[in-house]
Amino acid sequence: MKMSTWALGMIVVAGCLCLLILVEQQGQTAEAQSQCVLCHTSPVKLIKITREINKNNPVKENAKSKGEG
Amino acid sequence: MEQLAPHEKIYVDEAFLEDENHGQIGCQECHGGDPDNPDWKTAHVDVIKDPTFPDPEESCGDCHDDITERNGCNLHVNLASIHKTLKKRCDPKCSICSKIEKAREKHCASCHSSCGQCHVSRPESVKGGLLEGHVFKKRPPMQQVCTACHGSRIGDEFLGMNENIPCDIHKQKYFKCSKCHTACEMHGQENGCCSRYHVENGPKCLQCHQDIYGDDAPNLETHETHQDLVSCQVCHSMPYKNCYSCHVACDKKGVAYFETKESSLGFKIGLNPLQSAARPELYVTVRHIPADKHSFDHYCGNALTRFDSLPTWKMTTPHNIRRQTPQNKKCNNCHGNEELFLIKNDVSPQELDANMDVIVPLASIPTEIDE
Repeated sequence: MKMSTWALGMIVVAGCLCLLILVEQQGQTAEAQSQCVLCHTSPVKLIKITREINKNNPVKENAKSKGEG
Repeated sequence: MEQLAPHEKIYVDEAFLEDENHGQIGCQECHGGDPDNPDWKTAHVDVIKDPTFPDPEESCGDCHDDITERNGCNLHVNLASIHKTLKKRCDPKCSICSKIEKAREKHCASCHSSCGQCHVSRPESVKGGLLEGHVFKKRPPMQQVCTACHGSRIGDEFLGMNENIPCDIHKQKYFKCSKCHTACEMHGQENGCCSRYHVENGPKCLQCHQDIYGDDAPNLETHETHQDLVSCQVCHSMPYKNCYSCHVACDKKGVAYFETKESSLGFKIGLNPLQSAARPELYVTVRHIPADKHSFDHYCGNALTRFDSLPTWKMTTPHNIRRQTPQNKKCNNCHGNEELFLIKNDVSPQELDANMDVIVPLASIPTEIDE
């Protein structure tokens, strides 16, 4: 009787641990799959996009402040 | 300060994702946008660049409510000192006030900071850019954040960038701004205030240097004689920068700009205009600020009809402290030395009325003593 209770307890604990690990992994996978993360952690993609933005919106010459602010 | 390259400004380091607190929150939780959309153009619709400004309650408040609840009182956010100073100098007529208010919004209001613009990115007023790939910095990095805004005076003084003037002794000891300017001071106080000199948790030299009044302290007599009579900076700061005549305007395309006259290095002791129990000293260092009666003429001629209600030589706490300075080498380097004191002749005639409270009468200059 005692042995089966102990075994049952162990199974429950092991199950909980597995569940926790699974949830943790799922969270990480979800974050890693986010398009924001995929793009913003890639310098190559960012360089390509920022060049495209600058090409479409060239920096205009503006009035320049003179002296120390 | 050199700007980051466009892609560097928005690069997120994978180290940020390992931050067990902030890295586990989905990007869209704070910034909005569509994290499932692979087309960056449409994914960024309604994205919020800085979710902590003006109100950080939603982004930071869940965990940092003790700080966010004081956000409205934070001088770095509300810029209350600029607001108050302009209001005091401006003509009270509504028609004029409203024009100056518009000018303030155009030229001064963008110089604010926020939780994010100190702890996550460089301030927007210096064109932003993430710090270390979005890794949250508990203490803002001094030269990327603090002196990025407080550069031409405080930064140059502290870092020793002014010609022939050494850096602050605290810099030499590897101090960063946050060593003296703690989070308690930076995050504002509940009852609010309009000047950094009124913040209760502001830095006080004696917090670290209490031992100058110890029985065996060197220069004990000198320190006791001058206690509550002169501020620490009067004896221990080096010459600092004075600025003049800031004028703001807009170009033909409506882009805001400013012009100031050339700054100059100098050192002047004036009367303390803010004497109080916390600052009982009679003499303090004063610095010329770039305020000018005609600063806003582009928006409204002669708007600052009450310009003289505040001095243009303002109490200052320069950040180039040295143990030995030209004025403290010998007693008579200061005593009887008119040149060190702000006297009438140092003030331009049109600013005399504004500075009556800080000008030192000749009779009040301490006389030479037998050394």
